[in-house]
Amino acid sequence: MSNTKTISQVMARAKGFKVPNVGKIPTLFKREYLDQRTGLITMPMVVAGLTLLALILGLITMEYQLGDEITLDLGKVTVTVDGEVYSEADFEGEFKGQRLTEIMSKAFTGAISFGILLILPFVVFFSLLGTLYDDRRERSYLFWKSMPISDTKEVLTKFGFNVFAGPLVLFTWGLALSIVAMVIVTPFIWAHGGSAFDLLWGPAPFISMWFGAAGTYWVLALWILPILAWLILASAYAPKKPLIFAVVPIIAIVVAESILRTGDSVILEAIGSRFVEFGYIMEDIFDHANRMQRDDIKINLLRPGDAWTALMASLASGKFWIGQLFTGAFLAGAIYLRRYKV
Amino acid sequence: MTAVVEAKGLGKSYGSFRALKGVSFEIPLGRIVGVIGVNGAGKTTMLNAILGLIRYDGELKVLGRDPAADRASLMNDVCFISDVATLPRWMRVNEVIDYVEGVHPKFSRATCLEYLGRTKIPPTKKIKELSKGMVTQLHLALVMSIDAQLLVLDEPTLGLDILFRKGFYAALLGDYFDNNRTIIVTTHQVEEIEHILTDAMFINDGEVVLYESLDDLAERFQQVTMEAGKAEAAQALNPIYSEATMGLETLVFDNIDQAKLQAFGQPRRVGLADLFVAIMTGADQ
Repeated sequence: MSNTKTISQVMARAKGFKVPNVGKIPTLFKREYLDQRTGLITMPMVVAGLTLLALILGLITMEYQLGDEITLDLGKVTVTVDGEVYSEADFEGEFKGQRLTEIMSKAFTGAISFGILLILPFVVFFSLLGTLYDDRRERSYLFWKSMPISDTKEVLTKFGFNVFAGPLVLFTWGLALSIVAMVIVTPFIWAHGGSAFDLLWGPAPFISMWFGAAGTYWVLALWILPILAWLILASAYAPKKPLIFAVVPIIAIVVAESILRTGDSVILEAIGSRFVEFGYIMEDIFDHANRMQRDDIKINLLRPGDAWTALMASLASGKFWIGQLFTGAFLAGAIYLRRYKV
Repeated sequence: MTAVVEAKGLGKSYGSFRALKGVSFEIPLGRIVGVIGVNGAGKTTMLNAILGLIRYDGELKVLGRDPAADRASLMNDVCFISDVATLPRWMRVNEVIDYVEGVHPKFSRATCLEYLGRTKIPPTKKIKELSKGMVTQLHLALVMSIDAQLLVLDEPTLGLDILFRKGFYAALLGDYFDNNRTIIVTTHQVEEIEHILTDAMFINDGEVVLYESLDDLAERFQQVTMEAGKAEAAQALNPIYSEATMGLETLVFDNIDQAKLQAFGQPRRVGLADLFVAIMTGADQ
């Protein structure tokens, strides 16, 4: 047992080196995860189940009605309906020029997760509104405060988990759903003479999509960080019904602005601009990507590189940083209230 | 002896209401102090100040630290159970244990599991599915598995039946308490904790009206049930309280020689609850 020196002991020996106390953060994150089980496990599981059910029913219906008339073959995929043969070249409108392989692989990596992505904003919104309020309501804050964790660390880990880490669980659900859906579709492709690898598994960008979607979401979250911080402030403050205490002050300001006839509502403009500015950045990225790519690709999926580009563009924006001043103020308020509001 | 808690002019106001009116006291290591007072007397305010849960006026040092500024680091050496049922209801028993193990450097999982082994608490159940008594047992097991110097208990057994309450204090005294720890406890069931206390602190109206060791109290206060016709003469010794039941008058005396009291009847020790009533009503008279 001579090699039992821990890293921290070794670090402690190195003079003047202070180990930042991050050792408790995994435990704090795990607690938040357990607290959000409904939004992060139960709800996406139900949505994923319903999505797969719809997929299976759709496949069976299609098989029943058109089964004999579809022929899939790499390079020349054709769909025969009522004796008329359609091929890729016949696609109209938005899908014109798309290759079937791309449509299929993107549908099964992106579109299939739509339901799960739909619940993401609700999970983030209500977890932030509830987190500090629920501790007070069930009086468990007295237990949390009996542990050697500062109120600053409590609030920041709650905020960090619910804004950044929790949603990764939902993106992972989306990824898992894609893979299961592709497994289900595979025998149907085989039944029609297609190669599941060439049509679906090979081109499916699921790993890159996971990073792209998660990364882009993080950049969006950074833009709307002041709004999210406002929610946790309401959670720290509200004597009851935090939703009302989050929304009513905003409505009151809007009403006051309209009575004073100050023109456009400054507060609504400020809230909206967080989304609009992010939207401009993403639009630029997509435009750029479209110019750079081959003409025949119109459906864009988020890629990890896009998220990075968006982050860099955001950091260079003054409006982005003005927002972060509010984020800091709201979080400081939430920490203060957690600390002294008993 | 080292002072665990040192308060000098400790005060707390809520608006114009002064919940704590500048109290001063010292609590040394190795004591079990019962803080006794009616509702609203300022007990919880005082404990909340000691635990760093509220800001306060005056000077307060707990284990040499300023609790309002240093709560997080203080909690390495201080444990508390404020009120019953403050454990997170949505967590499972084993998840709570994992959590405390993850954040508290002085927590022993083995000790905790040993305590829990003596109870009927199922480790995979959610806390909201446990009975009130079990939640308290779990909280006590968690707290007793932390090697702290100060344990603060604010009405830890409220609403529990007598068997749970007895078991709670028996475990505290038998398995946890030693000369290197201090316990501060408040409860309305004064009689039940009297035998475990080393000191009593009476709080009334935001002030400490009495703070002495139980040994000193036993010497200082005596009660005598008056023999027929002697009550009148006993008034000369300034009894602090008198109570008449079924025609017999019992007087409580402060600091009167036992030999003198024997002239009126047999002097007896005054129970803590009776003493509290005597001092509180005496102050009003």
